Amino acid sequence: MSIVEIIIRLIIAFGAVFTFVALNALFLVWLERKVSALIQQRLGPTEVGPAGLLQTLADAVKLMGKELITPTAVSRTVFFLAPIIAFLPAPLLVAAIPIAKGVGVSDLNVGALYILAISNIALLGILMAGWSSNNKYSLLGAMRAVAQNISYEIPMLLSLLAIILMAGSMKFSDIVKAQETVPFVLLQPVAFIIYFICSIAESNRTPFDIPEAESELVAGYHTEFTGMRFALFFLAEYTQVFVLSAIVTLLFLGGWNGPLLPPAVWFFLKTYLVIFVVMWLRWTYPRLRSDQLMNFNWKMLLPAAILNLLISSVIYRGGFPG
Amino acid sequence: MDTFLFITGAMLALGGALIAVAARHLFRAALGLSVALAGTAGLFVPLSGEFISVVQILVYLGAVAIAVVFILMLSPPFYLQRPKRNKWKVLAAALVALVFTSPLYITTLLWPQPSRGPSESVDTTAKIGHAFLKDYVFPFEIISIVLTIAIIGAIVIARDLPSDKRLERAAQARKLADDENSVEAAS
Repeated sequence: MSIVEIIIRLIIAFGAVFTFVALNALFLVWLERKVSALIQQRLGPTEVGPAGLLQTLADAVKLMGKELITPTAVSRTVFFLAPIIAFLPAPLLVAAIPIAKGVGVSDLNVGALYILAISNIALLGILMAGWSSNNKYSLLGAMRAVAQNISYEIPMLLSLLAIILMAGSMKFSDIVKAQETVPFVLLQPVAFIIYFICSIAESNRTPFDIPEAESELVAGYHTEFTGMRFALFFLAEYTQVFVLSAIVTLLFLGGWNGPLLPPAVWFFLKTYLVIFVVMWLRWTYPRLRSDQLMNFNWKMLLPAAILNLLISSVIYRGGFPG
Repeated sequence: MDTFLFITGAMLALGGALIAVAARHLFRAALGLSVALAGTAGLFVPLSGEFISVVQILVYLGAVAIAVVFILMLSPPFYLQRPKRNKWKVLAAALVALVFTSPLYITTLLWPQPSRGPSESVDTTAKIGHAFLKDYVFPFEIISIVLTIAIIGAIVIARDLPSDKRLERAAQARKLADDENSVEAAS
């Protein structure tokens, strides 16, 4: 590859990823409003555009037009960098997700592990936001986020390991290929449930939205942020929802495998179905308490994940092939 | 492309290390450390060590997050006056760093390794797995035992207080809080 070709490829990849991140967030915010309205027997946004589809666009324009207020008592550099660091993993994650066989920015050898590693960066952004705001609600929110993310990462990794064990690879295309006949959700139901719960907890959404619990912490770690800085946190959250659903689709629901329709359509259908379930959960369940959250993780999910890994390694790799 | 990645990673690592050493508040130092570790992770990519690179980010950035929590609990908030730098402490720290890194310099000077350049793209993940569970299984297990001992040690320290003593302390704390409340009410 020549230098020119590399640069052109980079520009195309950048453009595609950022366009997708923006459009996906716009659509998901609208979908979230509609789903919540459906569940609460309301109509949701109706005025702007057909069925209120352009409502989030109007909101985005409003947010961009707002003044960026930097409170005097914050730690300036860190306060400035925090939303950027929190947003940074969003495009990096989207770039690693293949949509269909050979379609996608990059299909890494270590894709599944890469996703877990990169999501960690957002945690650092949240910590920076909480600390630099010089606000006790922000700091408490950030501390809760760290405790929650660090704990839920362990059963998440263990259930992921069970999948890697089945597929014999961490590459997403290989994992999907291994599910051509039977999706892993049927072979690894326990891992699926654990992974799904943990990834919702990692994205700080209800019923695990303790770091930003409105009734206790105002808005948690992003209390002091205004305008586009606040919007960056939002963009990051909705991209994370898409990423977690895409990963669940790739790991457990057979990815782009499916009859009749083209692979990419299957992938997006399954992904947005998972997103719908995530939103459904959010508007159905109340928020957990901090200690309930920790107890659930350490006393239920972690032992279950370890047992699942042990049993599945005996069942599926008992003969020690390879 | 590889050279570009190497230079970027090295600059990130060095810049981050500089921030980690020079920052006046521990929190900023920890952020510098995370930048340095991310840069180090980047150095493995042109060497086709994607697995090590990803694990580096997974393990060390998580570790930095935990370290930051301890920093938040142990350090004064950033708006308070920070103590002046002590010249002798800085010198002593530099000396200690020099002593501990000198074996590295000496070995690279005495037994220079020829640069082999990046190896062709192979599945290093499988190789690492085989190395861990075949050739180096003994050191690998020893490290696991050390880690288990560390965890057991942490549990022992956390459980040190007998339950009645803990109750006593809780009662004391409650009494203190009550006293403070009554003082507040009186004033």
